[in-house]
Amino acid sequence: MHALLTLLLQIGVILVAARSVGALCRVLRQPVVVGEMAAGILLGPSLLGWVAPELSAALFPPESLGHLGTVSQIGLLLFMFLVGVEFDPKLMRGRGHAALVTSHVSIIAPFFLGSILALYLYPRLSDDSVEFAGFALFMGAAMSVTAFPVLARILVERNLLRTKVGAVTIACAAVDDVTAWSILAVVIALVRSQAATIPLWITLLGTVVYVALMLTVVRRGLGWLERRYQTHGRLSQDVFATLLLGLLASAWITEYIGIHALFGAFCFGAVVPKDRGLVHELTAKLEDVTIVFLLPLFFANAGLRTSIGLIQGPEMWAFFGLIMLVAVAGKFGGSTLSARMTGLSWREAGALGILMNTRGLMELVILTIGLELGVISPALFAMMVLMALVTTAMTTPILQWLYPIELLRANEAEENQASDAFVAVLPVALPRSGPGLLRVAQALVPPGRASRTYALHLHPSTNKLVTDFDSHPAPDGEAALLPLLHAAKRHQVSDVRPMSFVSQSPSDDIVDVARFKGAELVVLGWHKPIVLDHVLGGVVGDVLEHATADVAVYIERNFEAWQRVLVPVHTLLHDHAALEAAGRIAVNTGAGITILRVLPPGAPEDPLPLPDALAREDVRDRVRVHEVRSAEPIDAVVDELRGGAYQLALLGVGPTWGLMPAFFGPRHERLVRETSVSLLVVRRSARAQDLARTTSVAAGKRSPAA
Amino acid sequence: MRSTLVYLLLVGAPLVGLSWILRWGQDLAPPPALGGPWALDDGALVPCLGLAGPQLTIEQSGQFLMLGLAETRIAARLHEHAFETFATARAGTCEGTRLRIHGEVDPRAETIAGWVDGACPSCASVPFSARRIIAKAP
Repeated sequence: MHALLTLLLQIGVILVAARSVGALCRVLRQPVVVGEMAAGILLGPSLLGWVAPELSAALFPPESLGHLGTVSQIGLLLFMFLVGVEFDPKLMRGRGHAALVTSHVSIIAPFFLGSILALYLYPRLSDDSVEFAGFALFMGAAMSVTAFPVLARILVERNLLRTKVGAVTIACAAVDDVTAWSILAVVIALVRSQAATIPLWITLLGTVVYVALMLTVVRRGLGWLERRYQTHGRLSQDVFATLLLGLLASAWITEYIGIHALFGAFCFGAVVPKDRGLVHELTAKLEDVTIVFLLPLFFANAGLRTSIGLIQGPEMWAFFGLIMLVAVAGKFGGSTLSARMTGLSWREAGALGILMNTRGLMELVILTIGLELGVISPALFAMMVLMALVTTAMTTPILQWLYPIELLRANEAEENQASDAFVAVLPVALPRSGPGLLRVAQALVPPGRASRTYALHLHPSTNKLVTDFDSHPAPDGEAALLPLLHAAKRHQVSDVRPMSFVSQSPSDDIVDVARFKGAELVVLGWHKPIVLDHVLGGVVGDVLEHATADVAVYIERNFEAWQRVLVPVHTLLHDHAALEAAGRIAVNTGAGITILRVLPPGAPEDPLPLPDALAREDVRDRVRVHEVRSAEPIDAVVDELRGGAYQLALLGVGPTWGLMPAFFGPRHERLVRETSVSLLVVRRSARAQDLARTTSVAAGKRSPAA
Repeated sequence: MRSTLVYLLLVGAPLVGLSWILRWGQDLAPPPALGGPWALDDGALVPCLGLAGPQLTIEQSGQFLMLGLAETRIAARLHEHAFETFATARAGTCEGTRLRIHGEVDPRAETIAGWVDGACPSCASVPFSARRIIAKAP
């Protein structure tokens, strides 16, 4: 087959495998990178080559692997450039002694243990073409690396970034990143000088000159590009091309002087100015192509060289066990111990340790370099790749065990208990629904109390490489919450706190956040579900069922100010919540309230107890009560709403208004389909309902209406 | 003060240990490097194992070798400069017979000399040799 046809076919197969196994990992709550690494291994001799050798040989003929390798190297250069762009020296500053000591120990401990392991493995898994010093230093560097991008994603996804653990971990990982790459550069220089490819003095002198130029001339030149970016307000194609040229030149120089091209890519990324907009635009242009398209090729390229079949017999597996032990003891043990000794609790120190133990893609990059240089043998490469996979996969479950999200939120709850503010949680799925939810939340604040609003955006897990540490929540979440935050600013609503994190189960997370934040109200928006078509189904239904706070579901259908609000009342059991909400709305917004009392034909008349808010002097004049008799209460409400005098209908949750999921019989969500006013459905929490029953009886005795 | 002590203990001590490890490791004797292509002579190994050609490829991970003989891959373990392994002949006069392969490596001369032994009379204690193919510089 023609070389291009083969390459296109290979890329297609690799992308399908990477996306499929990555998606599976997402379901298993694992970082997507674990799936992509595993997919690469599965396409290699460990599975495809073993199960279907003919297919493997046809798909990945040896003569074609050069092209695949070249494309994957370009991807790796871009990846390392982006890792450098993400590297911000600010992260290493001002974190105190704990971060400094922990970061250094988290490097030296695994490095030291890796070197001790080298004493044992060198006579068994290496040969005399490799000097011991190069082998030992490489093993040390490979043991001490941390996958900064994966670690950063886990911290963001678990909302740990602003915690003490998160801050120290990020600082340590940043230090680790730079140190590991510097050590690797030394190892590469050492090995290449031994192979007499490039004299050591040229490499050393060249490296010193290169680093000096990067920190002075190049950095200054890039500062000029930054100013140009700030003047134009966007990343022009010329500036983008200049940055790419700089990346290529830097990679070319470091490859030429004998420290790998990847080092040059990383260094150039590291000196790129950290202007937030520039970094954001630059990564936006490169990130998806690199992560979705090019990196899987690197994983496959590494996987094609990973032959787990080389790990044969109990002795080889014992070597692998030893490697795992040293890797975990060095990184997890060393980081945990030092963090504990510098003042973190055992739980926090353990969380930091397991995060630092994440090796992911960075390990794979280092191992591939080691294999290419001949520093590590194919069997040792396979063992180390497995170690990288296992240490990355173990991070999330062990972190959850050590530092459960529930515990984190419980800690947050403690800080909320001191406040007397009325706390509302507003889960925002669609950005445009945010202002409406805020309007409802503000309207439902009990008179005389201050409010605190948590604007919550939940999003699915992503495989982003660059994390914007300056913004909280993360950029995606921020964009979704932006209209709500603007509305809060416009209407001078104080104490609105944005929250954003990854969620596998939105309804559970909404319920949990509401509980741990001590919320008295959850306001949900509604938009037509894809599968179910009843109004209160899906996530909304789950939250209604399980939330311990009051729940309001807002179906926004017009944006007019609420002049008059209709409150249909049929059974007090379900509709009392609507009456109470109407009282708050009347007080807070000045809207008029019309209570449509629907009685069955022939039913005796009895007084309608009104909540205190509706009986207030300043509100009483705006409250009207109409009484109608009808066997079909919903007909009466639809007729009333069609009159066009209302901007909002306020309903209790109950079978009367046909809003609950109806599995048997016709769905009669007629209020939604046959009217055009906005609807607000309220459900009181179980505890509040009990209280309401008691107070409504008392109120009924006190103030009969109509 | 506490941080300084922790730093000295957890960073200083391993650094000292590392320099000792690097010095001590210089005395370790790793196995000879054998990885790469080898040319088999016309001796007994090719007909005994029923091989298509006289190529031998060694994939080495330290003491652990994977001998590639045509399409057959045979695992072997290097002890000092010698290895011994077993393979079943796929074709030829001893087809289906399990044969013992013993090899002695001369790293300086870059040769392997050895013998094949098995229950099959035509392949009982017959010698073979192999020479490393030096790859031409690109």
